[in-house]
Amino acid sequence: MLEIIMSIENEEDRTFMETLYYDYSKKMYSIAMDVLNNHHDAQDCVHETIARIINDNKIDTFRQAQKNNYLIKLIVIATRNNAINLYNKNQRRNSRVFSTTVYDEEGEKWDIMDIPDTESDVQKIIINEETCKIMHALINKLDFIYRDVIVLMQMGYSYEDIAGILGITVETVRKRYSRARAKLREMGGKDLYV
Amino acid sequence: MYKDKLDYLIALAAIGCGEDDVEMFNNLDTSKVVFDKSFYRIRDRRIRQYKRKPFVNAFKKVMSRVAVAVLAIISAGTLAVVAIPSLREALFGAIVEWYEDYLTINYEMPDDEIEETEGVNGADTETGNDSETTEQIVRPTKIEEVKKPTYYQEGIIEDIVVQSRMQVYIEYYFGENLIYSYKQLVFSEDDMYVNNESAVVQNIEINGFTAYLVELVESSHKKIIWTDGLYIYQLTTESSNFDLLIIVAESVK
Repeated sequence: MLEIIMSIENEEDRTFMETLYYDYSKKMYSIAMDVLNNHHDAQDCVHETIARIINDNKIDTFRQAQKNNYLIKLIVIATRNNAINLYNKNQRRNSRVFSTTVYDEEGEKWDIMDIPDTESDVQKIIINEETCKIMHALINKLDFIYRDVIVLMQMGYSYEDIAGILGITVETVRKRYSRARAKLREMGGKDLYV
Repeated sequence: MYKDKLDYLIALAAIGCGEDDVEMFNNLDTSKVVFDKSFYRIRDRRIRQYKRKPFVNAFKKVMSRVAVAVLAIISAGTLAVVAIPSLREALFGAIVEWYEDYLTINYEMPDDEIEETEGVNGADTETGNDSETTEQIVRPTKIEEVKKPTYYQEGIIEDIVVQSRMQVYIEYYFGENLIYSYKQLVFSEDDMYVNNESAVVQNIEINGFTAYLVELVESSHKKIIWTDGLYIYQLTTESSNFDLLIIVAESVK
């Protein structure tokens, strides 16, 4: 409890946290509810998300996001991923299933894929307006657990920052990004080499 | 992080991704969202904790010089084990030793109590084993009976923060102001020391048990610590009304 309090360094931070709670908790609840489909779990998820922001000293990250006009995006990602973590932890069935049924050693679900990943293939990818558009559409089709990592990386966060925001390990962040790459290459196929 | 052409393509293509999340968030209809009372209680408690931060900072600085707590050890050589539940509530005498920088408070079974319990050791008599006692006073290893203050001033709100196997922690508020907090703890092996350089410690009596009143010199923080032999109790306040704390402590049942 003391650690939570000690992490709030000044009045501005405290005011920000109060604003976060009063202004966004109902919408965060709605996002969590969409994943968890359980009223009490969704409420717990809201508390957990805000507590994580405090405990992991992420207040500056979120305040900076507010200044750069992507606070809402960050709140959505953090809440959704905490809900997913809670869902996985509770191992409940949900109407929205993330990926398939294979679990790795960290309990992460991922598709069984057989994607060739030779370096020479990747170097043949063309980067132009057309392939960017194709890739943009593909990223938006990814499961949230992969897309959110990509979005946070594009926002300039490090693996460590992303791990803190999503409530996962750095290694899991790396794995999710690696799998996202593989999925995007599979989905893009030859269109990425035009 | 970006190593090859695919990474760069992803980074470029990801610009603008996630905007649908923003649109979704802004369009969320929360008119039917109703939180439980417990949600608001937790929210308000956390916000109140933020407002108390300046005091906590000062308090932690004092506490950090020497670890603060109460040392409770039952000496194995003097312990008589009693199976009869009523005898578990025997008084534990407090032995206080003062050192240069700190004091220790040691809860031990008085010798006269030990002799009495040995005399009622029926099991030993039957087995003919007179050399050692077989009945013991057994401290609870978990909270078996919740005890808390029964005295309330008008307008005081009780907020049960923690109620677990190992501790009960309750905060008492008047409006948004924390008036005092209460803890019931099981005995543990951890040593605790009271820094007597930054604190004034005096003995008082709470319901016939010796209690220790700890008052920090640099703030208005006050704490009463006592035991009835089963659990350790603490009452803490930041207000200057010490008399109230004693009344509350005496009402713990």
